Parts: sequence; structure tokens; C-alpha cells
Amino acid sequence: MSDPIRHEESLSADLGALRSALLEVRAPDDEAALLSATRARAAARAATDAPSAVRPPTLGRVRIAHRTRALALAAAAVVAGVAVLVAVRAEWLLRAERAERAQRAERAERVAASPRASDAVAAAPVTAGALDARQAFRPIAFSRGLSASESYSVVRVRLELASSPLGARGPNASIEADLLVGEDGLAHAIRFDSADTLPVYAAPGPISGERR
Amino acid sequence: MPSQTPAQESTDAALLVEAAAGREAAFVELYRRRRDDVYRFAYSLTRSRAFAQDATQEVFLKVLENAGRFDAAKGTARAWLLGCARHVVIDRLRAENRRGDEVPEQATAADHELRVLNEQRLVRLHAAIAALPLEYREALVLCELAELPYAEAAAVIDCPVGTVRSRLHRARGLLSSSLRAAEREPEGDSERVVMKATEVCS
Repeated sequence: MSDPIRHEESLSADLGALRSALLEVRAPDDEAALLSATRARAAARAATDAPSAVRPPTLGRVRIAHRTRALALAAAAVVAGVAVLVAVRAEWLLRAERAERAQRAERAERVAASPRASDAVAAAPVTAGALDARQAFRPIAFSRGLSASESYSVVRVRLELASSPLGARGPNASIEADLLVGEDGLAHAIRFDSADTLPVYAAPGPISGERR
Repeated sequence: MPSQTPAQESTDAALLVEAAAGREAAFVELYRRRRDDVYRFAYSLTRSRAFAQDATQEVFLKVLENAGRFDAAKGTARAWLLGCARHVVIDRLRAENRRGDEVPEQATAADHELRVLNEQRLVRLHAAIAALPLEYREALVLCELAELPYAEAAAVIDCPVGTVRSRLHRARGLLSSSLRAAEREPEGDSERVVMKATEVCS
């Protein structure tokens, strides 16, 4: 018999002998210790599980969970609504402010585009020697005072010299003058052209005004 | 470990089910019937009586907690019990390895139950088995010493039957070579020789 086979058989025999020997091995009787250990564990587990007995039943817990979720959703919806309202209000205020600003700018532009009485009056010569009749507007008696914020139109008219303080040059002679007409349609100031520089018309008919 | 009859197996399964339902009497009965099997398995793997005793206690405590997980369709009650024992032994061995390798107890003539093991040859054989790598050791113990069928051993180890066969074959080869080497070595060096063999193989 070859060595490997002999060793295999020997090993099997030894394992059989060990198996038989192990059958004689008995576990020590620890039943009492095991039972006390199991009871102690059971008691510990019961103590751990005790709080769960106080808990509401499963259905109740589910209802509470649903109620809590509904409350949370409602709170979230309210917060979202308030946020939207605030945003809308802010946008509205912003738009109103923009519109007001645009309106103000437009008004300022309009005022800047039209000649202002104050400018005109300010541009008038101060001294009598340096008086330039072409630029000197004089307030018309009993008219409302000039306002810096009001816009005016300049209207050129021809006046009969007979009624002019500049004196008469002929029976039908006339002279041109500029009227400062306000937004109310009334003339507030007048400017006479110089007799030396302005042409004098001999009006064939009645005096007529011409808007320039 | 003597092979069991189908009636015994069905009784074991019924006892497990009843133990899972909280019947202490069923648990005690199961313990009385199977404690020796579990103890022998742990002792065969570790060659330490104290270890086997503690492991047996722990196994049955785990059985009480996890009896509800037993599924008769997956294996026998004995295989399930030995599977629990295997997990406990592995966990304890790992824990002991973390603390440092402890020398397994030597069988003494004073041990009444181990008188039959006092024959030097069997002592060497058991020492050689205990020194095998765990995966080969458990296959050898289950199939050769506990006489479990391959399928049942595979259920315990939780691996395919083919793996059990190959591990068993490998375990026998390792054991044979280590025993031969021990025979050539002087007395008292058998442990060292077995360890050398496992180091080479693992």
C-alpha cells in the first residue's frame, strides 16, 4: 500500500476515533444559569419595550402624523402666500415710483423746452441805458404775476401806433410786439421791438394778431 | 454527533417555533436536546472547554432571540442551530484575536470527559485540527466529526456544496501533512509544526 493511501486511511481512522471520543464529551449542565440569563434578558427587553405600550395605537399615531403634516402644509402655504403678496406689493410700488419718475422727467423736459418767463425776464437788461427793447418783456398791468414753473408762449402781434406809447408815425402806422401768453391763454407780459430796427407797417385794415 | 431521524428533526423545528412564540418549556427542551451538539461543535473548533461552554450559553440566548427567523424551507433545525453556533464561535475567536492570541487549553488527565482523549495521538490530531485555518477547520468538523451531510454542512457554512467538498479535501490534505511533520518532530513541537503548516497554506 502506498504512503498517501496509508496516510489517508490512518487519518480516517484517527478522525473516527476522535469522533467517538468527542461523543463522550458532554456540555456542562448550565440550564439554571441559562434560564436565569434568558429571564433577565426578557425582563430587560420588557423594560425597554414598556414605553411603547404607553404610546397611542398605530391608527392614532397615523392620524397624528397626518394632522401634523397637514398643519405643516398649511403653514407653508400661508408663508408662501404672504411672500407672494409682499412681492406683488413691492413690484406695484416700484412701478408706481417709476411712472411718477417718468412723469416728473417728462414735465421737466416740457418745461425745459418752452421759454420761461423767468428766463426771459432775467435776460432783460437791467439798466435803462443798456435797454434792449427786443429782449425786455414788461409785465402787463393787472395780469397775474409770472411763475417760474409755468410755461409760456410768445405771440407776435402788430399794434396800431396810435395806441402805442412809442408815439405816432402815421395815421395807420403799426409796430410789432411779442406777447408772453401763459397756459391760461392770457397775456402776462409784452415786449416791444425797437422803432429803429423794426419795420413799421402801414396797416391797410384793422389790427390783427398773428401767432408765431 | 449522531445523525438524527426525521421525527427528531420535525420535533426540533416545532420546538424552535414554540420557543419563538415565547414558550419557555419548549426552549428548555430544545436546550436539553441540542446543547451537547453545540458544545461539541464549539469544542471541536477551539479545543477549549471554557470557550465551548460560554459559546453554548451565548448560542442558546441568541436562539431564544432569533428563533422567529428559522425557516424550515432553508434547512434543518440542527443546521440552523449549528449555523448560529458557527457565528458565535467566529465572533468570539475574532474578539480573542483582537486581544491577542491565547493558547488553547491543553487537555489534562484530570478532565473526566476527556479521559478518552488522553491518548497522545488523538490529542495531536485535535490540536492539528484546531490549528487549521477556520474555513477548512469548520468544514472538517462539520463533515467528519459532526457527520453532517454535505448539503447540511453547506447550509451551516452558507456556501455551495462544492465549496464544502473542496474545503474538506483541502483540510484533510493539510491535516495529513501536518501530522506527518509532527511525527518527525520531537515531542512537544507538534503545535509549532502545525502552525508552520497553516502559515504555509493560508
